[in-house]
Amino acid sequence: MNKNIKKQISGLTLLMFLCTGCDKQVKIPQTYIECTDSLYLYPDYKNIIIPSNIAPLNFTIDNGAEKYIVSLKGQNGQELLTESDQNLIQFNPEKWRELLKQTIGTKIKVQIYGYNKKQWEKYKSYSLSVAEPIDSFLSYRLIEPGYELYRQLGLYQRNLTTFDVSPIYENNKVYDDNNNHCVNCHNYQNYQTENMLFHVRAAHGGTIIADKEKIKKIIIKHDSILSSGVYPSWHPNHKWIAFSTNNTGQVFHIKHKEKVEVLDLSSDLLFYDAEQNEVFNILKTDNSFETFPCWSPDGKQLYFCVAEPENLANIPDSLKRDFITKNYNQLFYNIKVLDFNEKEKTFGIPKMVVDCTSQKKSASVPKISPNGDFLLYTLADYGQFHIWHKSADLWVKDLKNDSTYALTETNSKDVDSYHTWSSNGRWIVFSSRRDDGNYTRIYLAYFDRNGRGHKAFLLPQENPEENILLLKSYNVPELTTDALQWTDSDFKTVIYNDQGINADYKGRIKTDSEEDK
Amino acid sequence: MKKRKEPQKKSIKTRIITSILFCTLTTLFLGWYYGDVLHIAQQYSFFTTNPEQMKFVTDNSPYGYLWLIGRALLQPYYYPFLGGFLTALILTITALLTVYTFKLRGNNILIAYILPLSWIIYTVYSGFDLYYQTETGKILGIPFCVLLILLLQALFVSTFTKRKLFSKTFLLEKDSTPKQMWIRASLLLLCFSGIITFNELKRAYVRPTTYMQRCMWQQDWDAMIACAQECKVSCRPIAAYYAIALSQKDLLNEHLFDIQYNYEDLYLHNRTHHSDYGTSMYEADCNFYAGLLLPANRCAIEKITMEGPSAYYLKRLTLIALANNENELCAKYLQILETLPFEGQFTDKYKKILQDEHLRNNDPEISKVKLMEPTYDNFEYNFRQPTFLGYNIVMLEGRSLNALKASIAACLYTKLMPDFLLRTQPLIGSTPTGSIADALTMESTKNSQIGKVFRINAFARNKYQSFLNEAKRFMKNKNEGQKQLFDQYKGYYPYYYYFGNLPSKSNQKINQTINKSGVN
Repeated sequence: MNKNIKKQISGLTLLMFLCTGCDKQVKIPQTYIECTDSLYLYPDYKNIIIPSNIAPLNFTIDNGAEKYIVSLKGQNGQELLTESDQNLIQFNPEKWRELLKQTIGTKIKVQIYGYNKKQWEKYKSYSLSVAEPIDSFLSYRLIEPGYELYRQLGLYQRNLTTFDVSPIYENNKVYDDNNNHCVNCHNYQNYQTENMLFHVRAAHGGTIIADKEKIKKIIIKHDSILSSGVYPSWHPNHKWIAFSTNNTGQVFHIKHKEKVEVLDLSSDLLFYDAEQNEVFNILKTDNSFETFPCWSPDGKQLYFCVAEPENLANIPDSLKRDFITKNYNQLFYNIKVLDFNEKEKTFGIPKMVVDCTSQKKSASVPKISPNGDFLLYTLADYGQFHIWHKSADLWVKDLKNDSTYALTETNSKDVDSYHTWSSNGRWIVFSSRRDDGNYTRIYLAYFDRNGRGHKAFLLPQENPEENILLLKSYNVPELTTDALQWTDSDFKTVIYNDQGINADYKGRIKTDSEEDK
Repeated sequence: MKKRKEPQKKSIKTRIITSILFCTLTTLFLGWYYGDVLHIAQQYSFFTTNPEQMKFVTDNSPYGYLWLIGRALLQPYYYPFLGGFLTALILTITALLTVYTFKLRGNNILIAYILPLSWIIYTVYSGFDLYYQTETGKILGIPFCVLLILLLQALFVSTFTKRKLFSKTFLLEKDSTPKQMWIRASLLLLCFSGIITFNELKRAYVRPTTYMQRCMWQQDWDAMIACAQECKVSCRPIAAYYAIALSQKDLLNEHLFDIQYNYEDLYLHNRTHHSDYGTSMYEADCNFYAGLLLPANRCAIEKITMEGPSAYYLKRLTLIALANNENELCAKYLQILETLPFEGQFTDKYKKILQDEHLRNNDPEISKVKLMEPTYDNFEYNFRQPTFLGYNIVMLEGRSLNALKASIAACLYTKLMPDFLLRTQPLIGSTPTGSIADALTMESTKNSQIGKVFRINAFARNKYQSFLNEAKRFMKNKNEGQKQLFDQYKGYYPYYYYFGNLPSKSNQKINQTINKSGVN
């Protein structure tokens, strides 16, 4: 019965489309004058490399013409034409998809004509290079850049091949002291949604771990653990998760190029076994701050960031907070790695991977490319919460030859941070404040086989103006090849009704660290 | 069968007359008397026709679409008389439909005005609560809903009875005697008088505050100053906006202590229904005019985070971004404001300023703010809160004389005399005036060095002596002294020092709203 109704609806929709939705015949102007003016496009999609499965790159033109015609022409003659009486250019999704399919590995020439003062003007053309596809689904959080206060926020999943967005989980929509909670740090195992997690803070707090069978709420708390689990990384082969555990605070500038400083007053690394529901300390140190764990794709190494502030050991505990806050711009994080023995579940000695302290720089969010060749990280002048540091740029370490370099074509003068790889290693997705310095937006950039990052472009929207009108920031972009099967209400049931299971604290995991010796 | 009693021979078409009277009184009340309050409520009430931008209302509330309509109906209050007239129409039609549906006649017609008058009473009783940390769509969403229900009911009656709703006979029906009409008119007048009396006695601070806020956006600093000085009530928001106006007119030293500073408890509740000082109502504005652009930005963003966007705070953020040279951010806020129905004048003005550096540098408001900007960085947590006060009482290095005056004013306000004296050093050799001179005279009686470096004339010494003589008898009852001596000594700093800003005797329990998750 339901199927019949669906069929009827589909039929009706098709009929309506045939009657009303057919494209108007658009013709390229035969007479025009060449226009040398720059093209003012928003977003800037000029001369970029795009995934072959990306949704239409709709844009607005602000060149003051009365109407526009846009021609997208493939090298083999395939053409997509669109016309607009306004400044908004939207492409037919079906035709866009078809064009991209036929032009993989080649370039599309984009030619724009504007009708101005009773004549057509032809603007300078640009190209779109069509490359390998990107993972189809992007998860992110939407939240006001409101520092420490929050109200309505949620985790969402966007289909990158279309404009469809579905909520993974949204917190309580109506203010309610008993139910107010925040969600953060969503994370997936191996670019798939089968195993995923996110944290719930404040009311109904806990770490939500979902596998294909069940959603569980885990409480990671113990006297020997600084706080609950924070930044997560799934082990690629097992249901093990490395977490940082951070005692975080924030302070607000009164006159500075940055608006806020988010500081870890202490931090350690945890190892959580989701099968056994056991938690261990990996590194528990008083005077060094370990954070942002990240497993290598083979699961044999754990990368992380660590700051070892000079003189901290000589400061009494009661003054440490003050010391760290006063010296916030002298906190430099290096990237180190621990070897991991999967069979024994033991870690080796921390080894330096990127020494930032010697350059008076600081790294965060290490992420290893799926083939294990490149380490992508954010480098800024100090600290670790680089999403609020204008100096934050994406850097790469080529693990084959140990060279480090900035992704200069990809970076901007504002914040570029919190990046992730696509599962094929050809795309990086990150959050950037380059649009207005305040609201993070998601940018995608091609990363070629030689380790070069290309010009980044803004996540396409059906109406690009939404990027401007939205008063929330996008953060923690995570790519997956498939869509999450659990719904918002599935999560809600567990979050609201489940008291949570306490993880068993099992002490410090075996390490060969110098400290243990 | 009992024959229906016909109205008296002298009966007149009073149904429409009562309605016109009510509509007129309501328009005057809402548009003129209470217009500023509803104008600020409108400024707190974000509304555009773009459904995407309104999702925070439609998707997040159980009656989202009703509140959306309520927000739309509130928009005409950008021009209070227009808003007042439209609301008066809604309320009058509500009354007429009640008359029609329930077949009210004679003095019973007054029953029909109970609902509309209840709404007006509720509006006034709520005071700041009408729009502070609450859903503004409810203000007119509920009357709209009532109107809709009555209209449906009336249509039902009209369909199934011989009484036709849309007929001349209904409006012009002879249903009362002249005496009854006069009774109704008198009662309506009495009701409005009662509402105004209540407001003047119990919510006297609401209209002046909102009037000053409205003037602030028009940069009518003189009107703000006059309003605060004429105001019979003392409350923190009025004092805050008074200080803003004085600072923009460079009159802090001359007139800061011309008003009473013994704050009344406000009838104000936060989103958890607890009493609130209302600091967040003016914190962003005060931080901005104190040159503290980043703290102002934090406060405004937090308001938008917690309550959703509003024209009021988007405009504040626009100015912050403009003053802070964040051009792209400023353009973003202007683009959002352009989608609102009545903000064209604001966006046109600031778009021009944004595009023209010369205009920006010469804008009197922005340039005054920039004169107050800190010269060095620090963290907000290092200052006493609110930051605009805490920063100024410890600030030792400013970029202008305006900044020095603001710092001196803050020290005088907080009665931190050693800090005040420290800040007068740059003035040594000059002849201080206003409250600085008054405070120096007062301090010179304790510290003879002051008299050596500042010229303190005999008249000032005599004035202080005569004040002390008069004040002596009130030293054990400062509250009484504050009342008795105000007219004589208002604006005189020693009066403020001894009798102003006395510790509150209030038992009001204040719970400032927080909803902090740590780091987002």
